[in-house]
Amino acid sequence: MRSGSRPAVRTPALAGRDLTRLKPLGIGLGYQAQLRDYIRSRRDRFDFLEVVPDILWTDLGRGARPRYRDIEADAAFIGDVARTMPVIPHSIGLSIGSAHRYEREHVEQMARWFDRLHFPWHSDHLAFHLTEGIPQEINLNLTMPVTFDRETLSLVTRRILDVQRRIAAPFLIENNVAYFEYPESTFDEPGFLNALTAATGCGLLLDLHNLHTNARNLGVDPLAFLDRLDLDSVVEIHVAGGLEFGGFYLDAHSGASPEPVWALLEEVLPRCRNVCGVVFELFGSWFDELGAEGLDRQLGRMRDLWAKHRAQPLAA
Amino acid sequence: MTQAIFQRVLGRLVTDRDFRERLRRGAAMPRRGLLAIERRRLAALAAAPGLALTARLIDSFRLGKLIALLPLTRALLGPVRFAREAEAYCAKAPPVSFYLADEALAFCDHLRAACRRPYLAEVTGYERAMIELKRPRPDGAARPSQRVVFEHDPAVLLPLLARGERPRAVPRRRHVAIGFLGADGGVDWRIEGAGPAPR
Repeated sequence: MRSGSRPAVRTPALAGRDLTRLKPLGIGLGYQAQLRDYIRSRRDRFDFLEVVPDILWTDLGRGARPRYRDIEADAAFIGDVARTMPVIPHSIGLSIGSAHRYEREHVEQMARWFDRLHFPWHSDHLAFHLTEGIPQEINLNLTMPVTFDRETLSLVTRRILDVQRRIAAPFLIENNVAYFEYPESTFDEPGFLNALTAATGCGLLLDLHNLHTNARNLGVDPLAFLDRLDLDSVVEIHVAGGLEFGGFYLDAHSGASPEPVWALLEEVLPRCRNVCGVVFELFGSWFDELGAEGLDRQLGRMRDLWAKHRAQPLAA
Repeated sequence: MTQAIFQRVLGRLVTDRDFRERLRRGAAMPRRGLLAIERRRLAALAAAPGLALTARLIDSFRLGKLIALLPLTRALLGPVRFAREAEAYCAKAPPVSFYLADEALAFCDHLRAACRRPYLAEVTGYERAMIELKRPRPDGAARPSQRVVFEHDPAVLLPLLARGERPRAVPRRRHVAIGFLGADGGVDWRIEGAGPAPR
């Protein structure tokens, strides 16, 4: 999958406000190269594959043509999977909360992907990783939390509307993990996310492990968070595992989900009327430790909860 | 655009430990371009354990990339020295890309300037060449062959490191190796001639 010509501009109306018309997919698995054999041999364990597109290409930098060079082995594998099940992109590259600029070329690249894969929705994080720097722009390689204030709300709203104008699939924004909080915020996190979805019609990717991690480290009350959040905007849910490090609990995607995350899933799944999928995330380097049977158990537990609680979408 | 300046300072807080310490002591707050609330936020964050953790996570991610691309160099230096040098490198060179190649090449330059150790120039030269040959390039960009000068027999030195063993008393013999990318995408090496053993 190499970068090709610029696809036609699409109408914005479809992109943001049709969350109720999305077709539920079921259980998803996050792609990592180390999971290829598992994905090949156990496709009956999940209904769709989620991919971080940024790990399937190399970014040759601004000004390079093409800028994004696909990693052929990964791209071929994903192309093969896409013939049998939906592939959903979950980006890390937009830096949608950066004040000085965001990665508009990444949007163009995702538009090319949309022409190829026709994904039903796509997503990125409510975060930034690019900052101005001297002499070069800095890429922090980590999703940094944004400030929950009106300036950021206005900034991210403009960017989401821009993404929606360009790509005719609903765009979801993910609640971020953070290990620190900005003092004197105007909004709390669910309030900020609600304002963002109201302003743009975008959907939410509710990452329950991020929420659990923020509860552990920052004292966020996860149930109060869920009570405050507009759950009708939730299209996708993430679950994952983490680990203890240096007095913190890390969103490390390092194995089985902890029980509090399962409890949150049980709590929230029946309340998310438009949810279309629940995805398990695991970093590939931890796959040997979890094992295929361990991954089976995670996906099986997700499937049981999905079958028990999944509400029908509002509109057929 | 005070927010851009705020994020720039925040970025520096998580990539520059000295700056973080100075700001924590109240000595490095930028005088211009920030709102009062942004100054208060930065002052609070400079002392926040979670911000220090974030800085560690960023450094750890960079270290992971270096380990992935420079396994032989790490075997030569040992994991502790390699990590220490990576920390020193990260402290002076903020991250500029999510991708591996440029970071690894810059780290090789750092090592060659910072460390004096037998075999280091050859091993970093070899791994540098492999990165240069395999890295994706824009359309039409040349992919020149890579020349590596070995002062010790690479047929002994490199397999030792690949097994994770520290080399000792590898026969001194000058080799000039030319690497190029084959049609199948693999790297081929040609030895241009083994010279006499240097004195």
